[in-house]
Amino acid sequence: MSGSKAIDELREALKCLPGVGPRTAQRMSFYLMERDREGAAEIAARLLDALEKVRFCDRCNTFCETDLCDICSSVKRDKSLMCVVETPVDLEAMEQSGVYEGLYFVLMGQLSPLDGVGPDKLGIDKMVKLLNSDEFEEIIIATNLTAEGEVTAEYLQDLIRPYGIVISRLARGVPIGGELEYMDQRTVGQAMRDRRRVSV
Amino acid sequence: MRVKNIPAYVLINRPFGETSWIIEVFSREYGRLALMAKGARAKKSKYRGMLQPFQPLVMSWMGRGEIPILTGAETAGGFNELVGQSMICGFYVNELIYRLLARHDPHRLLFDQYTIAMDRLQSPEELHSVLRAFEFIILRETGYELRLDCDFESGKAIQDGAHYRYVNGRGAVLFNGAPAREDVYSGYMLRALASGNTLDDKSLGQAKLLLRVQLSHLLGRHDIVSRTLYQASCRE
Repeated sequence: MSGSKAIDELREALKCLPGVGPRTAQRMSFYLMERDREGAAEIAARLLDALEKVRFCDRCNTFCETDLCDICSSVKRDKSLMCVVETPVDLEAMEQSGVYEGLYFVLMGQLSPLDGVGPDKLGIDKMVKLLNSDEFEEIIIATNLTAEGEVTAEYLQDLIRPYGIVISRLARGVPIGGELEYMDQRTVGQAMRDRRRVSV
Repeated sequence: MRVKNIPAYVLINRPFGETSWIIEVFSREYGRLALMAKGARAKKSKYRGMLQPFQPLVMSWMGRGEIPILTGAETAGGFNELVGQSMICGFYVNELIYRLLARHDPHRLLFDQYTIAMDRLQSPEELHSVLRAFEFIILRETGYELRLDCDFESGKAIQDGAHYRYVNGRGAVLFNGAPAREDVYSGYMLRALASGNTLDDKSLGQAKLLLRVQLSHLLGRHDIVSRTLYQASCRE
């Protein structure tokens, strides 16, 4: 109890952020009210602005402010490739690598049975519509290499297979700068299983 | 409290801050609990590949609060590579543990069965028998054991050749009509299930139905997501 109902309500609201519990939320709300009211006003204005403007791309489901995001509306991108990622952050990571020229689809999450996240909670319907309407030659599944990412990838593979499109997965193995001695055994094992031939 | 080298499995890890996870684990001596894995998500962390579901680990932790701090984790020998339907079944077993066990409630027998299940789920041909055995034991260990020793009305032993219905909370009872109904089970299946014997395909189907009905009483409204995923993986 802070003596102000408004602060209590602010604290409750802040708890919706990931990793913010009651104590962090209290510290944040006290800080904003005590030391940085300008900052608080800025946050409030930015939040309202973002809520109003930010939407999901009609095609690839990532965040954008128009019907189609920059990538989907670009004429330079290869429209026969689709890379499926979990989140806009993953899309960003892929873009920064600079090697991919195709389009994306952002699931906005991953399947997580223990958290009750099934296929109906991801943007899968939207992806199916895309598979039905557009012509793709290859779909690259780029989910995370965690158990949840893997089960998501398996689900997508089963879903896409009937369309007869080439499905590929990101390679897994030794990272750049990786020294075998310091790598965990599973990664080394996987790298061995997924080894590639360099000459006949 | 300081705890050392306890056999345990990760059920799920959830990001906490920039570099940590809060992991939900199922341990042999302390049951299901949450642990803080500090720095486990950091780039150089050796725990990143290790603290994943389905893998047999030994863990150490310390602290009194609701979420003790993980101080060490090692593989307990070998990795379980669950792929495809095996992985979905692994998630199903984890969902049962997560939904049916309260935190800090040790279930050593169940843990040992879980260890066997995670190992055997690697063989695709064993999925159904592994799951039925695990379902039977999780019901028993959480206090909802199926009563399959005798007909609860007559007190007579279950006969291989006879057919039975199962009444929730009471047990098996002889069924005299034609065994065409779905919820009529053969005595042979009931006896095999109770004694942990291998079930043939037909019995596995019956056992699945019987166990599913019993589990649904405990799971209540919770949807089992991995069932949806399994069904999707069977389409084609």
